[in-house]
Amino acid sequence: MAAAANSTPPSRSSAAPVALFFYFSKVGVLSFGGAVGPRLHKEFVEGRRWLSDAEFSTDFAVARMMPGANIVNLGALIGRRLMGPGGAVAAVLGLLVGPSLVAIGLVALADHWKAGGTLDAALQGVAASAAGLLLGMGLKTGGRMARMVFADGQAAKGISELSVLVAIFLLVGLLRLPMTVVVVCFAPFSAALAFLTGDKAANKGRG
Amino acid sequence: MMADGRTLLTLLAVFAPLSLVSFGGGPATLAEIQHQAVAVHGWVAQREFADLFAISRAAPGPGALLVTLIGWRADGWLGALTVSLAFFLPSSVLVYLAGRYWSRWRDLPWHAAVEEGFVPIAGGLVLAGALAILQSGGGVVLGIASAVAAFQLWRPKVHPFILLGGGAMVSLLYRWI
Repeated sequence: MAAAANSTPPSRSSAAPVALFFYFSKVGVLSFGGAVGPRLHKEFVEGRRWLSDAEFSTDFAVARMMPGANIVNLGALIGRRLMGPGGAVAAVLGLLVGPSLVAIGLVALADHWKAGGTLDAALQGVAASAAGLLLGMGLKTGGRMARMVFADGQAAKGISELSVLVAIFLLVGLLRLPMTVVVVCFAPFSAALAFLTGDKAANKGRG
Repeated sequence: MMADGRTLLTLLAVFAPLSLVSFGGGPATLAEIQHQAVAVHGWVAQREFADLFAISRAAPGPGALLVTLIGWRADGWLGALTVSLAFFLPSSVLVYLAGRYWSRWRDLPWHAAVEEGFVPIAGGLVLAGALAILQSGGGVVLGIASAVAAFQLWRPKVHPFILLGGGAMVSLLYRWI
């Protein structure tokens, strides 16, 4: 926190964690269809100016890299940055409590209306689209690695990353081996491969 | 499912470890959660799993709230609370600590390797998650998913909500025709 003090916008106020809980609840409950990240940016960077763009980007990068739901991680980091442990708790609760109640309410409503096939078909379409979004995301990552295979000086990196990706997909997706065991076994292996095949000079100073 | 302590303990045992290995976020855990919730413990039927996934995606808030919905189905409000704690608390504590030490770590040589090492793992897990949902559906589901995937690769900036809505419309049209 101290290191980032010089880039901290001045208006970061004396608001209490309780207020933070409500701001995060508002963002959580209002962001339909998986756009919580951009809304948090709007609220805290553009709106309240409690965070600089750089702080938000750093937090989002850490949130994406660490295990856990990206948005909840982001909330914990922003809350921590603004108000320490109490802020982190307030942010995470804000992102989870309200939206949980809304989601459970929607499930209860869906149960109620189930009799007509219309809702069934709509939900099936949403599930299919959401799976398609994941498919696109995974293919994009895989495609980037496949292109590395044919790029100058990156073939080893591309091949090793692509093999880990395919192996994980086969073991968890098709063979249904326990994900926890698979990830714990592969994580050191994958990091070692990245270390051995990585461009050390390019890696330096990144993050 | 009856509300006895054993269900709660099972929920805890399934979701707490996943919290700490969910590289790639909520979607990375879909395949494992589906396997546990449908095949191993029978908390929800396969079709119901897809419905809860759809609702968690269309509803406001983090998509990872699917886990809360599964807890709710498995054991009511206590189930929802147990799963939420099990799945969100460990990773939140971990990321909180990471936030503290991140700036100190970032120049160490292994840091970039660890960071890059997670990318293919997350990619494989997310694809496994997509497969877990697609297995449940027929040709329409596969068609919609492929179209959305292709569209997203072509136009990455389109708001996901538009694609979710589009998928629902296509599915409805197919039902009515």
